[in-house]
Amino acid sequence: MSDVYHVTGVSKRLVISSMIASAESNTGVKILGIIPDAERKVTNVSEKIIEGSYFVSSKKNAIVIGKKLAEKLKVGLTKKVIITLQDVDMNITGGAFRVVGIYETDNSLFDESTVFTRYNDLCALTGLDTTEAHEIAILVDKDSNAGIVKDILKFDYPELDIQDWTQLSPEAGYLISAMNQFLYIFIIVIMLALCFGIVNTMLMAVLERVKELGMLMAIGMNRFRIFFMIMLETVYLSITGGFIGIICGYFLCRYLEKAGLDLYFWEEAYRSIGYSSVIYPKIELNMIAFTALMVILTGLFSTLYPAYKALKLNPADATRTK
Amino acid sequence: MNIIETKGITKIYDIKTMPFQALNGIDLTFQQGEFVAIVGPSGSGKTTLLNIIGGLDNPTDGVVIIDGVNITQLSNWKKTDFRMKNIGFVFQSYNLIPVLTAKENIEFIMQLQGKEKKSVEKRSLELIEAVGLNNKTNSRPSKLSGGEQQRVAVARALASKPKFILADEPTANLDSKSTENLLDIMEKLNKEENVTFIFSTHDARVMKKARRIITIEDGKVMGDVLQEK
Repeated sequence: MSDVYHVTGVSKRLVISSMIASAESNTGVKILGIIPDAERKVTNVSEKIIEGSYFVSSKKNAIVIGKKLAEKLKVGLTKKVIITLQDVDMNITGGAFRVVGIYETDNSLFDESTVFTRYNDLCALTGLDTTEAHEIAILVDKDSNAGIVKDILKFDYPELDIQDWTQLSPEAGYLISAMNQFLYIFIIVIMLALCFGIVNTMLMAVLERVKELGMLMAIGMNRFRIFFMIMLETVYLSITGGFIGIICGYFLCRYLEKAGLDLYFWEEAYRSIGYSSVIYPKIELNMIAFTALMVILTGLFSTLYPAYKALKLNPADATRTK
Repeated sequence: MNIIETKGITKIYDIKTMPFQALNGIDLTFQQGEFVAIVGPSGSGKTTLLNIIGGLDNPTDGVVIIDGVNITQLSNWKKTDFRMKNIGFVFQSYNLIPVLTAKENIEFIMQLQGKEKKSVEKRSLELIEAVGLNNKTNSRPSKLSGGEQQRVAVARALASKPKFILADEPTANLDSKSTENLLDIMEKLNKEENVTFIFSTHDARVMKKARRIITIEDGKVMGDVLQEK
């Protein structure tokens, strides 16, 4: 699978629901049996380690747990926890695992209910063959390529159930879709504001220059040229304003892309649904081009009324305006 | 040779359903190279007559023939083009483009006519010299006095080499010295360029300079006399 074009990482996993217990407490968790080096290529849990390490040592029966779970079980690094699960023969079995790492993500629910062990350790405990996997996580280079890769894999492995992230996590898909809808509404609101702004500016530009426009008409500037001149003024205005706005927006976005925009006042709410309150905006070239085009088109559309007012001027009256 | 002929020009304004007759059957002819003052009290119809002769307004009745062309029958589009090629305008409040320099204001109409850059440059410098503003070539209107602005306006009106120039109360906003100066320049250009000047005024100094005085009262021609110089 890793040789499929656009695929940047492949990680096979064992996924088992089990009980985890410490000397103080116990709870149900989902155990992911992973190959650490492969898993690093598809998830960033290894970067979320706050204590210990992500399977650096090759000691057997190591486990990485979430901070929330560690608090619940009241365990720390190097402490042992007992995992109880069913093996391939449906017998209850268990094993002692030593905590080698504690991670913390933005999703407290995930932190509380997911633990990681080595794939081989889990195979040994459950009696599963080392060629087997419950799921294979695949990371592609671009979100837009997920569909292509999915189709290729479906063709190559018709016996497998292949799902993209929107199917695996539909709520995230809905959230992004809703965000996009909101984005369009925001763009419409901003464009409307721009529209009123330009109508106001250009109307003022026309009304302040009635005498000048009248003179231009009198000395032989035809209505088409007057209309073109006003349109051109708007294009210059839009390009100048748009350019400055885009440059400022671009640098702000580049800064926030690294520093992040922390919506800390909604932190609890975001965490409860598994999202970070820190937003890392990303700006793309097509978005810049689209915005620039929209600004110019909105500007031109908004100028139609002021330009119409200019064309309706009577040169004889306009030249004598006080 | 007649360059302008007005026949039975009548203009009735419909002000809030109360008709007001501004002009009542004006018949006039103007020759090439004339220096004419149209005089009369306020509201007599001087400006209306100039606007109609200049094609800025349409008469209710009658025709205006300029160099054999009945401009009252022309479409707005053709009338604008006709104005650009044949008529120069000087306005009471100068109406210069504030963001352009004196030279650029003069050049503007020639650029509108699509003339070559070299000839535009040459003509604008000639006119700037003719109106005595060599040292103000690159000054914007805000840096010029009223008299200087009006001289730029006269130069601009002449830039397109029109058949005649219509000046609506050109000295109304000027002091006596500037008025004298402007009138001298206009008289000189009238002779040098053989261009007809027609101006509306109630300024005695302008009337004194004019070689022909047309008096209008209540929309009618009450007098048309030639002055000996």
